[in-house]
Amino acid sequence: MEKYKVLLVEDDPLASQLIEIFINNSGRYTLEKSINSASMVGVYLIKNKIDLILMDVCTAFNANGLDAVEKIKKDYPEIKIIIITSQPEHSYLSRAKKVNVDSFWYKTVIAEEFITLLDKTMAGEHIYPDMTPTVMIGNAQSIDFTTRELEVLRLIVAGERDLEIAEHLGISLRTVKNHVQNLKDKTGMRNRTELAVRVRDAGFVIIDPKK
Amino acid sequence: MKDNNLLLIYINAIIMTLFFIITCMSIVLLFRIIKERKKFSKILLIVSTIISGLICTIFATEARTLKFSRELPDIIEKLLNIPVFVYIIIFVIFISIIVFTYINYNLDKKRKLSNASIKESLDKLPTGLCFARINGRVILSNNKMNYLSHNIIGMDLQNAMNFWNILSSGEVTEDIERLEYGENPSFKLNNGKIWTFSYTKLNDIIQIVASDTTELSEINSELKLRKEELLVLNDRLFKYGESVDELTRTKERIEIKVNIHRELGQAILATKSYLANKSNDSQSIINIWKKNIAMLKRQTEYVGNETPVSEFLKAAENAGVEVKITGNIPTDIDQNRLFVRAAVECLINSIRHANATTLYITVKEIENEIVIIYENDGEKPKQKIIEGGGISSLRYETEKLCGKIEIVSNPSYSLMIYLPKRKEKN
Repeated sequence: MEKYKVLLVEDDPLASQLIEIFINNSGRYTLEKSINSASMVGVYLIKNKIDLILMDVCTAFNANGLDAVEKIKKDYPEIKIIIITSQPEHSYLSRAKKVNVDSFWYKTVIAEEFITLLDKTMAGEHIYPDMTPTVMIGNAQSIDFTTRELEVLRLIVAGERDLEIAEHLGISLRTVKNHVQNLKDKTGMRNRTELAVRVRDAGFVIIDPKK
Repeated sequence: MKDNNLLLIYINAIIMTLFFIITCMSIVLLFRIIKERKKFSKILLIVSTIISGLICTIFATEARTLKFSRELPDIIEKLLNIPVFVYIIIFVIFISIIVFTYINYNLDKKRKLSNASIKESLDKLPTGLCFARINGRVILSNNKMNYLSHNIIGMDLQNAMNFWNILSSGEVTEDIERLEYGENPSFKLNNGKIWTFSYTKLNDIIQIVASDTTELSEINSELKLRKEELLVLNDRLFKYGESVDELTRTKERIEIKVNIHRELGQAILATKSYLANKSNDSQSIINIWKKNIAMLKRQTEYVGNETPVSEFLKAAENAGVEVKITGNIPTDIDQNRLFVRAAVECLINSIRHANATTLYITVKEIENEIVIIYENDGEKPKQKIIEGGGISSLRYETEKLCGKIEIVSNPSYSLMIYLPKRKEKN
């Protein structure tokens, strides 16, 4: 039986090596190429036949794996794609579904679990975790925030001021201030900078510099 | 009889004098209020003048009669026979009218503003004020506005329209710093004070107001400074976000290293067990060692000095396309990323649509601009290039860096990116 050809997009060499070992030891998959930036995937796909792409979200040179997937799925709909990430970013899961990612995997170091995911994906199944891993942001759990609060939080992390957030979301300045206050109350943070740093540290909100 | 006659003469003289005084006072007061809008007071005073004058005349006539012992007409006789207290009452009434009118007149005078008092009060205002006709003829201009006119345009305020035209868009004296043009022109005087002007049209009158906005300007400057500081802080926050990615990756590496360490421990234990003849599964032990050695080997190989350009060149080589770069690749991190991003897009397009084997990238620096030109040796486009999603997002990213993008289809395909030169960041 011919082995499935895998393209790995991962910027951490150690994680990349670990996954490479998992793949090569499986006997059913072969690692065709390992690259560190999602921005280069398009070039490799021109000359190489790939069955499965394992794509990290935050890759080298600030290339977003989910953006790359959107493009790949248009040009190569037959290629199966699995998102691999260790970031509990709350928007990744929903965005992955939106761009038709086949499966989604929060990185672990357990080989069997990983190979099973690959097998199921190649068999046509879509494997997604039920929810984004819960992280603590100060006194609050990541699930404690409302959708609007998450939107405001994202823009705070992006370095926007209250007035800019209000314009961005089409809401009043007073409402933005209320949301910011609620976020501070829930997390117990003293100010927005502390809040932004903690949220970013936890990987709960990651800003794409290109957007 | 002689005593009675003498008494009558005295009484006559007193009444005549009193009514003469009333007549005089009424006439004087009447002249004073003649220009006032006090119809009722005027009528009262006229009545008072006439009646008191008449009484005065009658008693004067009586006095003459007493002196010369002549016969008097009946009507005068009758009037003279009216009791004295009636004349006293009439006197009290008239004197009250005069006093009341006089007090009222004085109060009104105090309450009423004269042109001079208006000018005087406006001169004391801290703001500059000028009222003029539509044609610019000045009706009223206070001292402050005249002072400002001298300072700013170097002459008297003679025509308000000309003054406003100079303020809003004309030339002012050399030692005055103009801060704003237009609807609210603003100037900084030699003494450091900042004055802001406004223009209002009120029916057929124009009004120019000058306000001292020094304090407001200082607050605005401070606010601007704080806003800039906030922007720097926000930018730092954003950059911090990028560096956190690296931190997260480091955490991941540590987690993997911990796992390797654990597996190495297992390998040593398994080997120890095998050597002690407690296990016969040598192959699984070999596999564990192979895996661990591979991991450790890769870790030492990793030097982490890849750049977007070197990665791109590797990818191009893998795709069988030679890349020739002339000029200096932008060093600014954002521009460098865009350079590679565009190179990737052009590389894919040149393979897919032009079967190219070489991609030429030329970087030129022209004055304050960097121009990057991407060309290939492939087939020329058969028709005009239609911009797809890749180029559109490239255009968006270029515009975010205040640059622009141009695509030429004829005679051959080339993509040009124009970027402003950026200062080196410390």
